[in-house]
Amino acid sequence: MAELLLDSKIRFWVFLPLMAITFLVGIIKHYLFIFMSNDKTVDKQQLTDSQALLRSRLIRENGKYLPKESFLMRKNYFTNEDSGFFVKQKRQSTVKNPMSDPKAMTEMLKGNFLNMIPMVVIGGWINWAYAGFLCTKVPFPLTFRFKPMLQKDVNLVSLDASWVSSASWYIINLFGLRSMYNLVLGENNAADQTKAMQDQMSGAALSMPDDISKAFKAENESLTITEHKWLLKGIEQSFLN
Amino acid sequence: MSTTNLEKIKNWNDAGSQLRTWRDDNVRMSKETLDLWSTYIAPSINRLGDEKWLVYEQVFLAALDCQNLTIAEDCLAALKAQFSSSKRVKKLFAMKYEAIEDYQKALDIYDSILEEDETNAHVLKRKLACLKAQNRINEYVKELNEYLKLFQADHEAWLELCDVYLSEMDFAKAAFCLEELILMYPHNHVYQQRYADIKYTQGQYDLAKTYYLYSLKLNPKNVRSLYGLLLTTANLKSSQKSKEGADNSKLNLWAREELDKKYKEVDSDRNLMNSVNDMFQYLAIGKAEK
Amino acid sequence: MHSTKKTKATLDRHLLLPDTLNEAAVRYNSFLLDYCQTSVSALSGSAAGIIGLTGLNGFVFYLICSIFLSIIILLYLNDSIKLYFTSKKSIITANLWSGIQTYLLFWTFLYGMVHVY
Repeated sequence: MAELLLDSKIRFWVFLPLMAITFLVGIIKHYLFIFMSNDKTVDKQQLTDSQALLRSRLIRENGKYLPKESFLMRKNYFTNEDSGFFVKQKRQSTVKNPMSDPKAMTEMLKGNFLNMIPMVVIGGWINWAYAGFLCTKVPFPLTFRFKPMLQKDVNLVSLDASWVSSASWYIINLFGLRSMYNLVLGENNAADQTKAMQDQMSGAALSMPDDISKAFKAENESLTITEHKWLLKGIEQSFLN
Repeated sequence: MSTTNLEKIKNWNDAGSQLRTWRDDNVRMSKETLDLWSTYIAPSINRLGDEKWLVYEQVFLAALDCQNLTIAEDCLAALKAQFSSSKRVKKLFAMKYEAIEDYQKALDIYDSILEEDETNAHVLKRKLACLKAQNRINEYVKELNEYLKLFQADHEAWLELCDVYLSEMDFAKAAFCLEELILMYPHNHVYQQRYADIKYTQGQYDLAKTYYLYSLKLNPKNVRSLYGLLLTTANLKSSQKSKEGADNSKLNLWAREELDKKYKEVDSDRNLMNSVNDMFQYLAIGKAEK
Repeated sequence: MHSTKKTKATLDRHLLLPDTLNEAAVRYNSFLLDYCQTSVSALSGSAAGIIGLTGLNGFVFYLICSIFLSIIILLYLNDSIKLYFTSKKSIITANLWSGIQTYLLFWTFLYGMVHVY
């Protein structure tokens, strides 16, 4: 296959800018997200429900550390057939229509806005401005199966598969730079994580399942079938030996 | 840790990072915070950039702790000027009223915040603190229970409720609270040990023994658990015969040896050792007499 | 004697594993591991691109760098490895896969910058 010669202007006006754009857009997205996210207020009902689910999950997972009576007492509180928490609390199905709840709609819009808009806009712009360029070559041979992936909108059958078109270079960047964000924004990301954890402890920002009555039913079932197996039984033996 | 570090602090930058560590670790070094504030930070507060608002809040809380109302007022004024409509600043205002024991005003402010945001855990907790500060224990317990109906998974609240029940000598309920804590943090040896303490007090020695052993498993250095084990097994030894009795005396002996070792490590002149040995003796005799 | 030892070991394991782990700490540790891996793959990718490795050589180079990193981490942790990670194997394999995307990107990028035009 004949060696292709690329205009070196492509390097400075296409190849390099594409990488810079993807990277900077990612960073801007991160800061926009911080800027736009505000404190959520949760209503009482939702909060009680999510906390009850959380506690029930803990009982299922860590119940083995409690004496049997204590475990059964809690299990009964949640799953008793007549008066259990999960049985008694009848919630109307709260799959809210997002259109009727303006708050949920703005949240949704924000999420979509931050994820979709840059993708669409930048992707569209790149398609428009850089369509049809070959911009680089991957330094390893590839089979022809990779052609549609690496050579978007360059339809040359005889071209070696390791050449990369500009649109594909953008997509490669999009995926390859993900872990670079961790590297660059590492501290912020970590801070976000700890913040999320604190919220979780105070129970302020628990993600709510869409349909609470369904979640209750599922949790009720899984707690009902949880048997108590005391982990600490016979712990003396490990000391006596 | 603090004294050596504090001597090293020479300028606003060091002081700022010290305050940051305290803030992040939730350390309540109120007096030291105020000292750092007045010597290093206050003259060059603007150098801290946006961090200064956090510092204002931190110093404000420290000032309330030390009843230094002038500093508190300064910080609050700065925060008020910057965040005029913030709930968090409103809460600080109420806390100032709490500090001067004007609880009614504080409660009014908290209620007004809750009208906007009925599930604000921080504010709900402040309201509870008001009740506790006025020593209205019955109401406090009732409100705390209400709070826990909302926040069933809030471990701090369970811990607090446990303490209150303990101070009221209601051991069964305190044990319930500790069970919740064990569910949330099954690997925290202190919770296991406290649970065992309560069970011991209630006279359920078998359970107490198990949980003392588990807490020792998690942290072999827990001396209180060793003592607990010593006492529970001493009790069980006298009340049971057969094989279990033998096991218990083995464990009893083991706990004693461990304690012995621990005292040898810290005490070279053996004064403490002797008094501890006396105590062991006393315990053994006490059991024998029964 | 033998049998008692065995029961002790199994008992210990079922009392202390797997959820004795502090989830936040585990996450932080793997985050740091990821951090090292990303840095090394970015740097080694750049190096491979600049010296113009192609084909299999590049992948071998990545493998070498990555294993080198794993060895360094293992040596650095030495005996205390059990304190921070559950198994040695997970350090090496997690490293290998998480970095390859970054490596490929940087390799392609600098190879393109230096050698293609």
